[in-house]
Amino acid sequence: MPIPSPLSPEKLYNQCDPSSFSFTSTQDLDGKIKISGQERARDAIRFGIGMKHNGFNIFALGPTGTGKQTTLEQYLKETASQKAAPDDWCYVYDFDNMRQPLAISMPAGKACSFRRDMENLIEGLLTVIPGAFSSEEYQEQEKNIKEQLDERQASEIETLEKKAADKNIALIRTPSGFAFAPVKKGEVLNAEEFMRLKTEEKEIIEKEIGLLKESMQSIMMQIPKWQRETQEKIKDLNQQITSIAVKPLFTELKAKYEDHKAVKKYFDAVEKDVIENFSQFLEKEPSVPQMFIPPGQGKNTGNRSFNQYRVNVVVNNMRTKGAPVIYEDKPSIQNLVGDIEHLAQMGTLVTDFTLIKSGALHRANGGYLMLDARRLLLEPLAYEALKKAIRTRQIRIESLAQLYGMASTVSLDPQPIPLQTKIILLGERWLYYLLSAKDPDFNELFKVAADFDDEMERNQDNHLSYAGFISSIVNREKLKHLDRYAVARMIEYGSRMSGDSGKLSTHIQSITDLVNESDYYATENNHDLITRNDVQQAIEARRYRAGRIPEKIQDAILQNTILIDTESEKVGQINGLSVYMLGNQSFGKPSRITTRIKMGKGEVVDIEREVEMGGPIHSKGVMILSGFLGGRFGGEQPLSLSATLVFEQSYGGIEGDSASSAELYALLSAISGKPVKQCFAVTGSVNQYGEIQAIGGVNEKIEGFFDLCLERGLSGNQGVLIPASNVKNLMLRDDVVDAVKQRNFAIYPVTHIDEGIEILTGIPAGKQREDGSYPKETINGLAVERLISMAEKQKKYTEDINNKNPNES
Amino acid sequence: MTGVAKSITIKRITVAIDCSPHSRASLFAAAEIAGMLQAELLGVFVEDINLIRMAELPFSQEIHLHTARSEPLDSLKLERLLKLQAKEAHELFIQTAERFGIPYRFRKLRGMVPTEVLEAALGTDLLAMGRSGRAPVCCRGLGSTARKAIREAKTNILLTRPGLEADSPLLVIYDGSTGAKAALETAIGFVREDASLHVFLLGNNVRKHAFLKDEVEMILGTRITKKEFHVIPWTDSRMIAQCIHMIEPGLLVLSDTPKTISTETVYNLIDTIDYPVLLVKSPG
Repeated sequence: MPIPSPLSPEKLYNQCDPSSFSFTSTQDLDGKIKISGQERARDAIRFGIGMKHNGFNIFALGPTGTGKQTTLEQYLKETASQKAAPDDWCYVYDFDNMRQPLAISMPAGKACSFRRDMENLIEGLLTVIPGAFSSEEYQEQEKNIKEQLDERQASEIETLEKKAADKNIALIRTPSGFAFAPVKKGEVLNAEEFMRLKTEEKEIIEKEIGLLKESMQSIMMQIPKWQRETQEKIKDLNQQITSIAVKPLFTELKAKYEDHKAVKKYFDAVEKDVIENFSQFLEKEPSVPQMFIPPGQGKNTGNRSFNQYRVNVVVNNMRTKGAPVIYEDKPSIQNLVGDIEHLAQMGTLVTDFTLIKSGALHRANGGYLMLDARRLLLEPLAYEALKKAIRTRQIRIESLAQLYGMASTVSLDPQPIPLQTKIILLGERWLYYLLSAKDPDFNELFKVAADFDDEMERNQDNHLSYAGFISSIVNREKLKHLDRYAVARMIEYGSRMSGDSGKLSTHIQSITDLVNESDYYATENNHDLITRNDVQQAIEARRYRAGRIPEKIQDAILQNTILIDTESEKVGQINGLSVYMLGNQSFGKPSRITTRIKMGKGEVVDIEREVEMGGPIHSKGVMILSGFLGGRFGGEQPLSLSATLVFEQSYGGIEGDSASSAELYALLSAISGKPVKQCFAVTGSVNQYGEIQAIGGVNEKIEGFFDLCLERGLSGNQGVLIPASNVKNLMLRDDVVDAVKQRNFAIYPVTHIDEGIEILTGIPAGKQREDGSYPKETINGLAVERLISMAEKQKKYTEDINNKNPNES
Repeated sequence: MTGVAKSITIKRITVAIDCSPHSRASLFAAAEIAGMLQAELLGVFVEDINLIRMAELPFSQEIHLHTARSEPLDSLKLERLLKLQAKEAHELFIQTAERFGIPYRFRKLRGMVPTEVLEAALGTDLLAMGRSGRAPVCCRGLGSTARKAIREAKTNILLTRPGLEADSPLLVIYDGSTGAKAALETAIGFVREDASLHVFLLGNNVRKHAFLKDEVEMILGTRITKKEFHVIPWTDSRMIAQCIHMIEPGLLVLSDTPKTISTETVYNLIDTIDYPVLLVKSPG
């Protein structure tokens, strides 16, 4: 099998050609946000927005920073601008049920006008009602009614008094009532005079007084009834006067709101209430500042707040152009469905409909509401409240304190408002799949998944989109513009981020951060435009800031605290490569892998696994090695060896199978007895047929080994073996590419284990002959020879043991 | 000018108190006048002998005002209640008098109320009392004591009632008689700075009215700035009462000896209207 040639420098870095751009700097671009590479997500959004049926809400899933919110906002604003602004909503007092404020909708911008009209009405009522009651006409009528009562009482008593007087009996006022007594010449008879009367006369007097007393009692029993009748008459008069006085005001308002049935109905209720409770408009203004008095409880008690006639505008779309697009940053239950606030007053909590606060659902009603799914789930009861609103298609305001039973005060139950909002949740993919799997309501309520990709194809169109996006960042953040070379570097960086020279990362946040950082260095370097060097400086600085731990490891290797050989040749020893993730930074580092063999039963012992420091994927990789060895060498004789594999100086555990090819190389070296050149490092996984498979983090791994070689001095022999299928992922640093150009460093794309072993040992792997044997002085030939030797030794050893102990079976 | 008009001189005022709302109003009005004129205030509370006699009768029963329940009238209880009423009247009187800083005396009498009040007022310049007292028919016309007082008392009479605004206008009925002139002069002394004086000119022709007006203007001189004249061609009490009602005076001042209308008409007028009245009695 021919060994592959080292990769040419062009294969190591997919450079973006600045001359392919028609612009000289991002200033020449329109600066509008154009997100490319998310066609699938955009189609899903378009579909979700277009679907009017219930439950077709959208979950935009994808990694953070991939521009989900930007894309949605951009699309929604375009769509929303073509729609009419939705209705305003306001709450008013329900005169039939004070605990259930009424929700009234009005065309956009009308609610505030309605509120002003009600305020003007109150002012008008405060003028016209006192005016009507101070009129001579009213005073006269009221006085007449009262005088009628006085007249009636007086007349009845006078009649009785006259009747008594005819019988020489006087009606006399006592300290606490009345009494009848016989009189003579205007003076009451004293006891002696009375006793001197004849018995018949006394009896007649007593009888007459008894009858008069009963008549008097009868009159007095009727007085409360007459007083009630008088009160009723006065009440009727008052209401009549009020009705006449307020009618013009209400007629004018009703005419103005002719087309609004609900408002007209409300005006009817207000008019009725004003007429019934006219006295509140007659009370003098309180001299001390008023405390809050709940509606219905402050009537006729000096309350001048008139809250019951006020309008609480909860949704005002006066300045809204098109349908609203709302992003609620803190999706708590109160911020979503609204809240009923309370005021502490004299140690108690009081509220009324004017304290109803709208939520994001109210503001987004008739439009679109975007929410971060993770934040939503972190807020107590918010997700449930949102689902309930979507399911019932109405917004019902429920206080959190009430739901938890923390507040025992009387609260309100405002009339729910119909919900016509498209809900869009934004979140990571795992969150979407978790909700989809665990929440039975979720799939029913969020039927559209807009899956945002974290990378896109790298082509000329998308280069331009990237440039346009960078231009929009510059405009939005008010930064320096980038020249075309800087844009090209940004694109290369995007490609490196995606881990594929043929792709571009869609992680908008990282690009934005880099533009910001580049702007900082451009300012420091006194550049009018951000140049390629500024971008490069920002990238270098970013790496330097995150470079403390890689440097420490590098130092440890250079000081031979961590043993990594980059010069000699060793049997059963090889340099593997691994990637470390720290925060949002990753770096590669070489690790020494060693293997030892002994006689055994053909097993390969993974020491990492034995001590539980190896993950399942790593263990799987090692087991694949056993499969390869068995398949290649165990066809003719049993494998009478036992091999141990270990990552030397590993204290933190190993996971992944990217070192499995390196482990196999070490194993083949140990079995064949041929040393591996330590100037190489190896990465790539292997299958049971010896084919090398792709791995992740290839750039970081190569750069990690390169950095070590560079520190020790590039010899020209050093290099890295990578899977050939990873060549497309190469976006290496300039210094690595330069070293390759100068033939100081080499990168070999390997497809099969036989290619790699020849590069590493300088000895061909050896092709199997038709009889199943391998040529001598090849790695495979030497390995077979060693294995046969070990098998024979083992056989002889077994026979010797059996001969020494013939009775043992 | 047909005669020299002189204001009545008030140095001592008698006020009858029975703790009814009317009598409270009269006490306040009398104290105010006394304070203004530096007069002495004499308070009179009369224990009604009729009540005491009635309580002694074996079959007497009291009907309670608010419950209409009846129960025997007990002499001892009545005596106790009268004492309490007298004490209340005394305290009210002292408080009011001291508030106005005027000299005062208080007397408790027992007998027929009208007789005792009139006797107590002998030798004083003004008798103040409520239009009606505690009599059962308290809301219609004058009470028995007031009625007797306007007819039989030798002294000037002030009848009041509660519930009138202090800044209401003052009204005088003028027909050019000596009594009317005295009433006008007295009224001038009672006009508040911010109040206006209304004058009813009683006469049956235009010349008479003009004459009376000139006469009143001359008497008033520059002492009164806000004044209004009203021509009253009628002489019956009902029509005059209607005219008074239109003015709604805070005090009506009139003489008991006019020449255009009879004294009986004056009495009827006082009985009909429901406004405070100062009746200026003719001497002798």
